[in-house]
Amino acid sequence: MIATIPVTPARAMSLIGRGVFIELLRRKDAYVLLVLVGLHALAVLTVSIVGVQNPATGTFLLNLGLTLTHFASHLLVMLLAVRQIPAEIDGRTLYPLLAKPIERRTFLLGKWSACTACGAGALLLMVVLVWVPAPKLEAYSLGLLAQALALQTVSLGLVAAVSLLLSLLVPRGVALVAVCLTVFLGDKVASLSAAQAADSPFERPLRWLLAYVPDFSKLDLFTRLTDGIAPLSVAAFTGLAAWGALCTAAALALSAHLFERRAL
Amino acid sequence: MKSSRVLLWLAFGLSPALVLALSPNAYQGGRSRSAADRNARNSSAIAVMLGEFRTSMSDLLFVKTERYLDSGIAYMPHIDDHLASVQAETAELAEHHHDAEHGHVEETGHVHGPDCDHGHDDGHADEAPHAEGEFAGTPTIIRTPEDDFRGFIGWLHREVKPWRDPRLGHEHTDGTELLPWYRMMTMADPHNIRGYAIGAWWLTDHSPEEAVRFASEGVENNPEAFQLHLILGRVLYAQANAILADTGAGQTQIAPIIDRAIASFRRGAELAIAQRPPGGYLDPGDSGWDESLEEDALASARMAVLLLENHGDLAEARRLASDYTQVFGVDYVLERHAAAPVSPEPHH
Amino acid sequence: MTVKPTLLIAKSVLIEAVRRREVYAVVLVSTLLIGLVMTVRFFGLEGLSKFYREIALKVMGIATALTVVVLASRQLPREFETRTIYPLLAKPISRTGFLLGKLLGVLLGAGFCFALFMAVFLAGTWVLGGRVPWVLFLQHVYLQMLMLLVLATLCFWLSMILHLDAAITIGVLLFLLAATFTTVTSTLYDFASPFGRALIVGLTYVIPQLALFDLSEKAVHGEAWEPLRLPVMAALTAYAAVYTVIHFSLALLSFRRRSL
Repeated sequence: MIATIPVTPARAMSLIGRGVFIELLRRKDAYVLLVLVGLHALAVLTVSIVGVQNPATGTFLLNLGLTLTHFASHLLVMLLAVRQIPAEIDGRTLYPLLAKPIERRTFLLGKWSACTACGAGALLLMVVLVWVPAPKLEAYSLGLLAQALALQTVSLGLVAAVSLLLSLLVPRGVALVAVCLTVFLGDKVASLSAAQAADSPFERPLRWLLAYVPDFSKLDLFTRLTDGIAPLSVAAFTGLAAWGALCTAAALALSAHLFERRAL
Repeated sequence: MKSSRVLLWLAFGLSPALVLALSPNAYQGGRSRSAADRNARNSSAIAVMLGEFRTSMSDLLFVKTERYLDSGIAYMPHIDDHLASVQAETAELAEHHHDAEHGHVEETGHVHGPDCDHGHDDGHADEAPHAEGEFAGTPTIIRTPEDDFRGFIGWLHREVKPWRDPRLGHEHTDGTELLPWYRMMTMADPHNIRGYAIGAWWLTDHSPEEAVRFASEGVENNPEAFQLHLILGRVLYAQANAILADTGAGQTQIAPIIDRAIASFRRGAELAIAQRPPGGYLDPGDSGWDESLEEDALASARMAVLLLENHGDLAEARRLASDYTQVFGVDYVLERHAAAPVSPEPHH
Repeated sequence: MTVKPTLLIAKSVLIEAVRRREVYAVVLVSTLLIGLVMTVRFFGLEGLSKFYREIALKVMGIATALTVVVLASRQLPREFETRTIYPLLAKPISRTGFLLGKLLGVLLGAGFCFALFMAVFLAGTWVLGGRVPWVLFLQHVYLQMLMLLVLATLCFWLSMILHLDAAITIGVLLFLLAATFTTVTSTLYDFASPFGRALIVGLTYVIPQLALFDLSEKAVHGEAWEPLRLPVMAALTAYAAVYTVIHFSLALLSFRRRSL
């Protein structure tokens, strides 16, 4: 008789997380990250040759670098999260995992936290690569930088949750396109759609309804930072973090519901 | 477990109330929106290299405006530093618009009208041995044949992309096609003051009513932005003039519009005075008050005085001119009106 | 080399492209974006078509290029992964024919994607009452197809020497940064040392200048520009052909060397 070693949820999550991290390094996304870092090095080289002609250009470069960091880290999390469950199902590696005493919701939470942690790590690495060589010729609030990084991490957690949810609903490629659209164009599409109903009785209900689609631009403070604006008030910062966490929890709860009912 | 789930969904159901109340990026001002900063960064080699690859709406609009007015030709940025004020930029664009409306004579002697439709091939380069015409000599981002190290590839680049010999004067087009960009920009960023100001100004020629509506929307979204009160006053005044010209209406019929325009200029001037440091742009301290803001503030003050005077309220015009002179110091227009005798005859 | 098996392979790639839900998702999303832009009321002014043309052409270009990069990069690695290449190569077909079939299929897939977009674009223009500068527009479509040919063969080669995701990333970056690359090298030249200048000239010729196949700016401002002259079109075709042959040969070389 084979003795079953009890696996605590925390241990299970850490094991799953390690698997995701090893996959990141060994398999696919590390290449993407490597190409992006190479591109960044080329950009730094170009700037060092041309020189920064005025403080406004320095700020412009910093903003561009931070915006690309936002873009790249979110893309990385999407690519990583969207394939987690389909890959486990396709590769039939899910069965031995779930045969162990690991609950499906623990499995999901492990995948989510690992994807978020990988994204946060990549974000931090890229922010350092951008921040250190950037010519800081104007004043930027370090308090706001800390707030921006914290909200970016919340945003990455939300992207991971939404990507996992969509990967349970539609094919991988379609899920990726949908998440990309929501993250990078969602706010613009929503404001355009709401503008169609401007000055009509439908405007307010439509805005309310559209607010259920996560607006990732509200969690991106990089332009506020390079614009030289003051940090957010404690209430505004806490409100945004709470809203991000709430949306993440809702997406994860829905994913767990779908995953538990899914026949494998 | 079940109750926590119910709580979660209840909180999520109410989450729009929270997120709609939070707008961390809805602030006025900021370096990305400052016209002076925008002109500085766009004239740098880095910005030229990036072309339309931009993260700031304000910068993208800057690039689009230059390209659309020149039929897509990518010139080195040539909307100058002194055009940081709304007042100066609209005046500059009016020049472009005038060229597009009436055409201009080039060194070849050919008169180009607004709808002039002919190709621009290499032939142009051979015809122009010296720089003439407006903005002639402004270099193009794509190199000229004499200066291009790329040979065959350079030739193809000049053929495929909109390109014209930089020694020739510019052929300006009507800026109407830029309007959708201004609409989209202000939809995406309702605090893009410049988007509202320049967009409303472009609109005035085509539909003064729409221009007033657009500028009013800008004022509603940015009540403290005095430049928008200035532009609203200007488009209202243009609307009144259009009604006079088109319908032959009398002064009494346009009086409510003129009153609104005066109120808007006065509000603009009041806001500007409240935001202006006592030393103006010469001693801005940490306020960021520069020459362009001073120019727009003065424009609001002058327009309020001139319009009041033109429409008969001479005593009030004089009083206002005197008040504004005390704030702005030496200004020929304001001083002239402050010192003018109160005449009973309104002059239109 | 027999033609029939090559055409069969092309057909299978096309069927795969047509059946993939991702292609429809990309087309649907792009169409929705274009549709949304069409519905925006621009101050009640009629005939403002440049904005629509610019957005539509840009969305069409990006969506088709992304589809082609992913489709082309996946073709060869997946055949090896799923081991479907063995029965295929057991048939009377050379590796050249096999690769040509794949290329033809990818191009037909791109054409399918473009055709879908074209229908949307033309319907939108008709609804908005704008004018289409036909010759410039058709020249733009032709040049985009040439660009996709260069990009597809490059992705074939990259997918043989790099990991799939690296090949896709480089393909996408090369496409997205094409215009920037051209301007950066051209501007950097003035700042560079003699060695740097030589390097820039070399890079200009080694890396395909994909920006040369983008006629969208002239198509947007169509009323001010004449169509490209025949010698220019011929030169661009020859330019694309040179890079296509080079990339294809490199891909074939790697493919031949690969042990099955």
